[in-house]
Amino acid sequence: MPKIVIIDDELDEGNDFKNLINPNFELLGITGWRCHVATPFKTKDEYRDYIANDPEIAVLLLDVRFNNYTYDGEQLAEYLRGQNGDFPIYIMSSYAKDCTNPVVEAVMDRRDFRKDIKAWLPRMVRAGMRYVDTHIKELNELSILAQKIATSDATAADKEKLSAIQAKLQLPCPQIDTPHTELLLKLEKEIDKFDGLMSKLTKDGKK
Amino acid sequence: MKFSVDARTILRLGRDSIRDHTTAVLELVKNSYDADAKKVEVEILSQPTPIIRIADDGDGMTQKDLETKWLRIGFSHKATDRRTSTGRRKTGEKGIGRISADRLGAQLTLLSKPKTEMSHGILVNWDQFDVDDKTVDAIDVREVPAKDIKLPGETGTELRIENLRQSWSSKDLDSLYQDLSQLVSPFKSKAGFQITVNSDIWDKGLMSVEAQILDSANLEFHGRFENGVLTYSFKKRTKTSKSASFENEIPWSELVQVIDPVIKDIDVGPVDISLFFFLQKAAFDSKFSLSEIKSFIKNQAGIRIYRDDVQVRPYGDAKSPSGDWLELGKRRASDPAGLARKTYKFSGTQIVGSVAIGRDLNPQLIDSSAREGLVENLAFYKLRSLVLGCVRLMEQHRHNTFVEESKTPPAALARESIGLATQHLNVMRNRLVAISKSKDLPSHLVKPIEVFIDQATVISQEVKRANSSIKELAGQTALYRGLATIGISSAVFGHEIQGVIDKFQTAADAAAANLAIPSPDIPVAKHELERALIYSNRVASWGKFALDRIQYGKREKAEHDLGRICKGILTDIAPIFAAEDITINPSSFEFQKIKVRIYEMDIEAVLLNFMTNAYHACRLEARKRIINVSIQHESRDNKEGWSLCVSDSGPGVATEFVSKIWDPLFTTKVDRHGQQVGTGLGLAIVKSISEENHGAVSVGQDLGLKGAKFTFWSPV
Repeated sequence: MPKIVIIDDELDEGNDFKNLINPNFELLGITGWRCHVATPFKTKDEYRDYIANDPEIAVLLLDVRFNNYTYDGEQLAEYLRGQNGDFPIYIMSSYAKDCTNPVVEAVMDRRDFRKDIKAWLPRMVRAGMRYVDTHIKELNELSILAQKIATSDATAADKEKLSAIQAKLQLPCPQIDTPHTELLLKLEKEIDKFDGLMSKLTKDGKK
Repeated sequence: MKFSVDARTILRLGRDSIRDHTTAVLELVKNSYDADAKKVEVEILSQPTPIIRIADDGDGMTQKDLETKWLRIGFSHKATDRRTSTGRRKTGEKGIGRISADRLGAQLTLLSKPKTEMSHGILVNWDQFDVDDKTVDAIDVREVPAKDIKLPGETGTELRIENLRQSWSSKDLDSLYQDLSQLVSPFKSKAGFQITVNSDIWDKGLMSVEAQILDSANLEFHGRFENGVLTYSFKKRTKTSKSASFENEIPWSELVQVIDPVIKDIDVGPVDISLFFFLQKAAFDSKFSLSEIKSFIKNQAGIRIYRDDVQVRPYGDAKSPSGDWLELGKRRASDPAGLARKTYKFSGTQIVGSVAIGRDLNPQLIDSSAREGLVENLAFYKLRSLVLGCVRLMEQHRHNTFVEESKTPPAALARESIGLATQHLNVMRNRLVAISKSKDLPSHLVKPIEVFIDQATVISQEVKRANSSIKELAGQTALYRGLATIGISSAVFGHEIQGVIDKFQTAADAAAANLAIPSPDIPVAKHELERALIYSNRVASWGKFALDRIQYGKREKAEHDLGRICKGILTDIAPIFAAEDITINPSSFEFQKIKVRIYEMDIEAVLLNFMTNAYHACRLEARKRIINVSIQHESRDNKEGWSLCVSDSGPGVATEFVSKIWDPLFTTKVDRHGQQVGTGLGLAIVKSISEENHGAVSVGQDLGLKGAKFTFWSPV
């Protein structure tokens, strides 16, 4: 179930918008989507794991002013952009006009978002869906390319593409230039170990 | 063998050493002063035969006095016997003043009546001394009977001078009158030396000078210089009375910056200096008319030196080329700065002054042998520097007073003037009514006076109307200041209030959306409606806050409890400040009871403007945001008063802006983009309120909170 997550240091206000957005999904016929609220993390780094650990997060809606934090919404957006250039991020704030160089999809004044919610929500959902679709597509492509590597059928172009996808998705993976025989030997060793274990178990069982 | 004295020597001593006939009369009148006369009659008549008559009510001379003293040229008992029986310090020690008579006319008849003898007299024909080959003692002086002696008292001396050397004109008499009026210091009219002048040459009749005219001076300076220190005070004549300043002291080294240090050590002796400044403008309560004052100034302007109550000429004489011994005219001409400028200088025609010295007390100030003036030694120069220093003090005082009075707001000035005008009109009207009832009033004046009474009544009514208008305008000013303050606060707090309105609308929309879906989510809708209610209450309370500030009752001056007013304001705005994490120090709400008579709107405007400033300042700093507010009793310059202080944890006010921040339209507030924001009117409003209440405003640093500390002080 894809999510829009509001990041706001004033939880009450965030919940007001959550309670506004959720029924509007239904009124607009947008199914499967929900809105959640979270207060800002202490550091910007924590958002990477937050997003990585919850693949349902499809859109972020940020306030600008975070009282008593070392960063604001605009700086957070910049950081997240640096991590993942495609992730849909919006700024929605009473201090929207204070933004100097936003790197987000759009900057909205809260009043404007509320008044035009029926236009904004579908737009956000589309952006989120695009991201998710692209994300799944890339995972599938990663799988195909990995198989090609394993079967030594990958071309130089395939290897390049694989590197790019890994970088984009920030996935850890072995060096794709390592000869496949080494991998096979490793696999054979593991299989031998497994066969050994199985034989032992069978012998013990007969006894 | 012995010296003999040529007869003409007498004439050279008298005629040749006396500058003019006026000086000659002055010398003879001085003798009357030294004879303890209280009255001296000076008559200069052209008909039936020209004669000059000088008669006094002094001690008179006995026969022996006449022979052994008056007729002994060069003898002066004043050299040994310096004071009269009434304590006057005698003038003239050289014993030749009597010969002045020769300068006036060829024949002198001297009649005298002492207490212990019959009257007697002598006749002197000065021309008899104008001969060759005769000595003084070869010329007889004839005794004459004194049956027709005419004196202003029971004793005294009468001089009759005939065969006048020159004719007298009306102008000569004016000049003589002026010189005689200066002969004895007008500052010591209590000495009881009155001179009258009578003549058929002018049309003024009998004339005497009134010394009380000095009371009409607009500013007085009185100083005594002794032992290197000048102790002085001022008396200022206001529209209602004369007010005196406290005594001040200033050492010589601060009073005068003299290049030559030798003067510093010269002991000039004790000196009393009195200076009187005349604006020469009509005043209501003066005993003298403007024309009398102008006439007095014309005769008396200048700073004169009086030694033992007798003028030392030519100092201060406008007619004499060396009369302007302080060069007041030259000073003014070289820098004619107006009263608003620090270098403002008096003109010589505005000031009447006396510098009192004594022969015994100031021995270093010595008579010049030219019968006029003092020897211009170092002591004289020190005296001159001292007097100029006093003139500068007076000029400075006048300038400072003008600058201070210029700060009085127009409304206060208008009220003061209207009050005085009303008072004076009533007095004038009552006087006219009294005159109209007088039996001696000529019949042709009855109707004009009745018309004047009616006109005074009409003017009084118009002044009352003007007064009511001023009061109303003052109330309106308080209202406008209050409205302006609301506007300023709204601009600063407005974002916060707009935010609350937006939250209300979001909550309302959320409630509506949750009710609009096919399966309404009632609990969520209810929750959002409750939140909408909270926000709407906050908006309503701001609206009420704004309207409360301009309630009609707050535009009237009345007695108020300052603590109650401040507590109310702070309680109402605390939530707005809390939304920005700004704490208004809880102890601020514990105010002591201070009751003052003031416009409630003005107090609120002061506090609100200070708080608005503090709100903005606190948001500029990352440290904990705190505002302290306090009210306390505070006296300043011996005046009871109270002060309101607001301190914040902001960045403070830069030193270069400390004086400018109170100016209208000046602001240092910027937004996060560096754009100037704010109206620059808040602190200007506070300052205008302080000026109207004759208070003061200031800004400094709060050492605890590290930000600015604004203070508003007002007398009770």
